[in-house]
Amino acid sequence: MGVPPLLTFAVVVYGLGDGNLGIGCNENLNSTCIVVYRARATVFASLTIIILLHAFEMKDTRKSLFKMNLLANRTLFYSVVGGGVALFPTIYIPGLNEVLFKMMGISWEWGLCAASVGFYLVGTEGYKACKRRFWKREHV
Amino acid sequence: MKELEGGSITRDTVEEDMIFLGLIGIRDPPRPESLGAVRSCQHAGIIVHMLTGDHITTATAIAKEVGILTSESDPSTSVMTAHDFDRMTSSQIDSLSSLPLVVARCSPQTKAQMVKAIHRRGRQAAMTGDGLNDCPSLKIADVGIAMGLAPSDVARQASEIVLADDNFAAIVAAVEEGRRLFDNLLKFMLHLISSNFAEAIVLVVGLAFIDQEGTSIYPLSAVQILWENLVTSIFPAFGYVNFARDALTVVWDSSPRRGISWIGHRGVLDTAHSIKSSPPTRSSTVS
Repeated sequence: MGVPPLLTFAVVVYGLGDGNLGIGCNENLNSTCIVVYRARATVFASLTIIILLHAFEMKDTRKSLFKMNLLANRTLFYSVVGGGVALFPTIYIPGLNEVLFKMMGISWEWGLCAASVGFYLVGTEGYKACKRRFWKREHV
Repeated sequence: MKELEGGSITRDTVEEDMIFLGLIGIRDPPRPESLGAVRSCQHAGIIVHMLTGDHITTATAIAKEVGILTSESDPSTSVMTAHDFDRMTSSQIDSLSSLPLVVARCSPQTKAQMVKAIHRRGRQAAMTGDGLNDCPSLKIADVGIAMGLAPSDVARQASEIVLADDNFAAIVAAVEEGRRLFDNLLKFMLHLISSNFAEAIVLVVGLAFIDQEGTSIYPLSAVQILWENLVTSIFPAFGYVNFARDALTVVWDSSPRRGISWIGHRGVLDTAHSIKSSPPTRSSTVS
């Protein structure tokens, strides 16, 4: 779960950015920090989405996410949806994003987000499929 | 009367010159819910044993009625009298392929012996009873459940749980609730632990990103981490408290957890997960 978001950071900074981590980017935004701030937003978005999906995945240790009735537990459903919606203001509200969260609005980086979420889903669903296939539940 | 005082009266003398008036059959029928409750237990991997003071024929009939004995169970091994059971040594009992489901004419020792035999097989036992003769086994069982319309005081004291009615279905409901709780706790802990672990990986490995001045540039800022923990993780955790019916199919399809689970030794959750029980011992109401 932690690896894909981390990879997105590396990809934004080194792969598509110039590999320059800027000066003093933990404290405030300056012209050298734009890449780092965008990378942070990417990490944040992908980690948040993965954690939210993970909440659904943990409903059952074997059953696939796509076969679950996600609405059966309304509290869980709305907290996941709410968590997903709340992600956007934190990234896009001017001031809030740059001063408080130390990140910037992102555009093409959403593609990386989707990729890392996909990576997570493939891993988790694959693990569950293996469990269903090879580790049968013991029946008395 | 003189003869009586002299003590020379015999049974034959008394039973002379009697007139047959009629025959009365007395029956203490099992509750209608019992059959369903026993079935759910068996489906959930809980083996129900009946230890009774009744005669073996009565015991077999009742056991068939409430579903403890099914058409598949072999009467030669699943029904036994306490006389035969007590004669066996511990190793002989352990070498049985399965413990007898019905034991008739039980004494307190037989019941305690049975609980110990269950323990030796590495399983956990819940025992129900209401009388004085159930106390030793109530005490040594993992979960002693005092039930019956008026469980004796000593049985109440020896038990962990006292049921207000003598309904076996109440135990099934308790197991159901225990498993649901355990499952919800497990899921919510899994979620919190794994998502926090993921955040830790991002932060710790992220220390490797070092800028020109030699300081680490955090891939997530402090406020972002707080947000992940307080907003993203906590609300779904609330949701896990609310799992009710939709979790139950999983609950009943799984077997009891064996031995000590890592959540807690002999906690209610743990024992409720691996409960093994006998229905109210009819002996106590009879004797």
